[in-house]
Amino acid sequence: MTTRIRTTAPVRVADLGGWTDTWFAGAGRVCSIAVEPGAYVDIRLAGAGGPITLIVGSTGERYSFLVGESPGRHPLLEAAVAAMPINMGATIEVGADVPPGSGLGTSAAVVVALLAGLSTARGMSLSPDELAAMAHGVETGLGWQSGVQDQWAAAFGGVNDLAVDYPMVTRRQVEIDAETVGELGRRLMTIYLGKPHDSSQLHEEVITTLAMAHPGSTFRRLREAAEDGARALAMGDFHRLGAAMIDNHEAVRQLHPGLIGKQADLVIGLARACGALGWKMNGAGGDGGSITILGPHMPHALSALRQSLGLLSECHVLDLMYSPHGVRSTVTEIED
Amino acid sequence: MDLLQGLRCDQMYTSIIQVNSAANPTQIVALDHVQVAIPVGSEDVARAFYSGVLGLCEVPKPPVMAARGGAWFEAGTLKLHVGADHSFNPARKAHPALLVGGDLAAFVAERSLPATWSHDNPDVIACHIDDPFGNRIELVQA
Repeated sequence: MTTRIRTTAPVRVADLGGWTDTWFAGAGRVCSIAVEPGAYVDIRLAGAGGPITLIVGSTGERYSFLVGESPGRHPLLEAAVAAMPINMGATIEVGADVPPGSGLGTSAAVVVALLAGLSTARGMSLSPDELAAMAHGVETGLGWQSGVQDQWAAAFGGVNDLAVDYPMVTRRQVEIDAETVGELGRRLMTIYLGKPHDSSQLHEEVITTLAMAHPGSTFRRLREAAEDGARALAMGDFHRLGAAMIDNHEAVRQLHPGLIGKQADLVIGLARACGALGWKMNGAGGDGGSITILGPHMPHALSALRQSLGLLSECHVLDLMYSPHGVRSTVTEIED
Repeated sequence: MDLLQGLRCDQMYTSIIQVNSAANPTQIVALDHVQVAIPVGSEDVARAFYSGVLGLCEVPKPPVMAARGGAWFEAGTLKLHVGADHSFNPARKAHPALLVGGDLAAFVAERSLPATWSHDNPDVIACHIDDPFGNRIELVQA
């Protein structure tokens, strides 16, 4: 018999207030909506002291190493394995059901799922807060820039309203009723813009500029968008949610025009012309990635918008649904 | 031109046309097509809107012209061309006016088109919308 631990974690869309959950923003406020399918980790435990075999779902790449002797091929994954070492060998497949580089916080979700799966293998029970904080520490431990919102969204699911005093997070769950959940499912559309966002250089440039200039008014505008979004979701007020999304989107453009790509603007133009109530580039922005659109109420109009988005050859609408759950693991024993 | 002195403007043009037509029967008879500019590389979005949302039918461009980008759409006698413009700026004032059969209000509502209704001319039911690129488009009830 082999012990198999299957772990899933949601990703998030419409991350209002993103960029304020960083070391250089001062006080932060973020509201985001967790969606699934997101990241998955499949762990099959083997004998004591054996190697870890890592399988990267997006490429099929497979390699083995001993804990403590990470080869550095996938530093983030290997660092997560090192942060939660198990005293036995294992085959670990990690991946995501959304395109890589879609700006949905996928890397953070993968790390949260990996830590959750490994902690289950160790017989530990970590709270979502502990998992989120540890996942954030894995990223920053590598010297990488990382906000804190994605890890909390993956760990908790649902609609999160986060007050950030970097790296500390105070989380409030935004309660939304069943009707609002249904409307979100119908009207939120996340469009992958045809290529991964590859913006590390741009983001570094923006961070350097922001750390020096600290545009307080723009950060305030972003925080207010997050607060507005949280209130709107709690009230089921989609006009207000749409306005918050647009305001956030334009505030990000104010941070740096390069954070909103040309393709995103074209898709937004189409959405606007079709009566969409709101839109927001997901994640930190840049060329590529994804955008989330809040569609109109009327079924015909929503259908027309969805169909017209489906006509864009380079883009596609991701099949995502609201996830009330955060990271979850199931353990099964399977025949060898 | 002395013959034209004292005529109103429309009478004068009519007279010129008559004079020219008599000598050389060429004249402008109708509108062939209208062109709307779009940003380079945004044909997909134009198709999604003009064809997917407004319901115009895309027709193939002649091969030489197709190489320049853009797209052609038709509906009944309407011919609307979108042309890719490297220095694109949306036309906020100049606009084509498209006739809509049936109930214009229903057409707009079914598509949730953000429309600005115009009541300045009591003889027509009309509204303005923007295409995805910010070009102004007028819709007029047939």
